[in-house]
Amino acid sequence: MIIYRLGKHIKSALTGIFRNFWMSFSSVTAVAVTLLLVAIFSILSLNVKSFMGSIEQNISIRVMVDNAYDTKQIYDPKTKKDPLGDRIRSISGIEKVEFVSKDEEFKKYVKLTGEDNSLYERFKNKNPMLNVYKVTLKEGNNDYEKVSKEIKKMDGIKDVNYGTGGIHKLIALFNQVSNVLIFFMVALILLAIFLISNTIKLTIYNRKTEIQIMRLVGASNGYIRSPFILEGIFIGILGAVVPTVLVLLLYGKILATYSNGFFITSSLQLVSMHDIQIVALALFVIGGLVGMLGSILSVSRYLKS
Amino acid sequence: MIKFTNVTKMYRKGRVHALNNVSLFIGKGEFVYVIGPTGAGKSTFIKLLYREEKATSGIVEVNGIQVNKIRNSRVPFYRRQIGVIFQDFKLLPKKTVYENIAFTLEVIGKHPRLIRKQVLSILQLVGLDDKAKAFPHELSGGQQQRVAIARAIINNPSVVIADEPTGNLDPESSKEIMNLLEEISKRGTTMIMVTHDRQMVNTFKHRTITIESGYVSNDTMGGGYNDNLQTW
Ligand SMILES: Nc1ncnc2c1ncn2[C@@H]1O[C@H](COP(=O)(O)OP(=O)(O)OP(=O)(O)O)[C@@H](O)[C@H]1O
Ligand SMILES: [Mg+2]
Repeated sequence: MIIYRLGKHIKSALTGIFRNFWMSFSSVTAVAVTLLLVAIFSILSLNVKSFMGSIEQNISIRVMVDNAYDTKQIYDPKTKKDPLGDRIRSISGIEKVEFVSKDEEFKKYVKLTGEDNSLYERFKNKNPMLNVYKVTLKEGNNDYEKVSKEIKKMDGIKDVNYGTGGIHKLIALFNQVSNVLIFFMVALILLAIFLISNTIKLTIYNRKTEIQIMRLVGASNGYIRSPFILEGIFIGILGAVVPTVLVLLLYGKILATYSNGFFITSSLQLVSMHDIQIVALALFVIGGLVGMLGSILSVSRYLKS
Repeated sequence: MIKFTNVTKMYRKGRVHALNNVSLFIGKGEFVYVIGPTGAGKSTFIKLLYREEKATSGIVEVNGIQVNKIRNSRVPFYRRQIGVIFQDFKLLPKKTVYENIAFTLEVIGKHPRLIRKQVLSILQLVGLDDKAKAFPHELSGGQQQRVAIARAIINNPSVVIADEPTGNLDPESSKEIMNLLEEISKRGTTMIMVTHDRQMVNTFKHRTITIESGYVSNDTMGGGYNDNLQTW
């Protein structure tokens, strides 16, 4: 019985969509454009987040210790004494200071280049790397330059560098882009809701007599409203189809092209298809919700009991 | 059983007084005409009965239920006990006769298996069993009104309300509709009929309630227009 009723509602919802074809079409298009933007935005931010995770260490300040400097001043794993490290720690705004010996640095480098360990074995006595302090700033403190300058003034420091300015610019750029995207998304979602509610209004208008008769003979309010709410949800879900297909296909292509990662290192990986499938699922949910909201707006205004 | 106690209905926040302090009683199975000049408040009287409008003050009681107190969400269930018929039939033009009647059972959640039997038997009752597959525009006015009546009585309502049901019909069809309504009334259904048709009121005699400018100005058992009293 419930299935029979649902079938009736679905049928009349679909009839509503086709009867006002162009209105429905423009609503579906608005939802599709909105969701495409939502998808691009989420994929972009997912990737930027994952990039940031992998380049996080580049954002820390690398303090390189002169090889000629007094080895008693640097971190000693046996005694845990670390005079130079402590001096750096005393600068304000620093979260943590971590010592990486030149041996470890060399191992990491060998691993990064993809060479096997023989390179390390051959050169470990002529290690070209330096001992390093990795300095992480407290959250909110972005004054890498000031801290770097202060460290550089200390004795025994060969060089100090932090990330590359590029990373900070990238983050700033991304933040700007996401603000613009969020603005458009909100505007488009509102537009989509508006268009859907207008489409539903038209359907309600087309069915005036039908609704009036349903009222007269005692159809419940829920029964009268269901097809209109369903119609909105269908429009929203229809709007999710194109962006989902586009996103899955295009992202699959991009993944295939850059399967070996970006740039020289393989540490910058794109997020996997699995994450994108979750985004796609979310598109359908958002589409359905936007549709439902649009129709509820009309239904509550024009189907007052 | 219908009981009005000091019922007043105003529209537009009190600027229009459609009904003033109306009190009356209509027993079960009665056949009652409601007459009066245009704008007198007849339709308003009827709308209060099927809870299309709410009384501004006073008590409207139907079968012991205080209609004003029914919650909005329960109104649909209340309506299932009341059949309503209009001058303009209110049929769905794109549905056949059969579908028009079946529709009203579908929307109140009747099981599809029960619907067919019920619709066919009610079509027989109103004498349209051969028109089940016809569309409204293929029927005469009188036939369309019979479809509307079939629809109104299919749930065996205890009260049937008709707002000028013969207003659009020729005298011959009007008579047929009247005969049908009387037949329904004889089965114990309370019948309330608003009309402007003097000849009918005088031919088919029933209790006649006259409403003028929102007041009940006359309520006579034998019925009929009185040309001295009703000069409009
Ligand atoms: N929804 C409404 N809003 C405001 N005024 C209304 C409304 N409905 C009716 N009225 C007014 O209330 C009064 C009574 O109207 P009603 O429809 O009950 O008259 P009636 O007796 O049925 O007239 P008629 O014979 O022309 O159908 C009229 O003055 C009318 O203009
Ligand atoms: Mg009227």
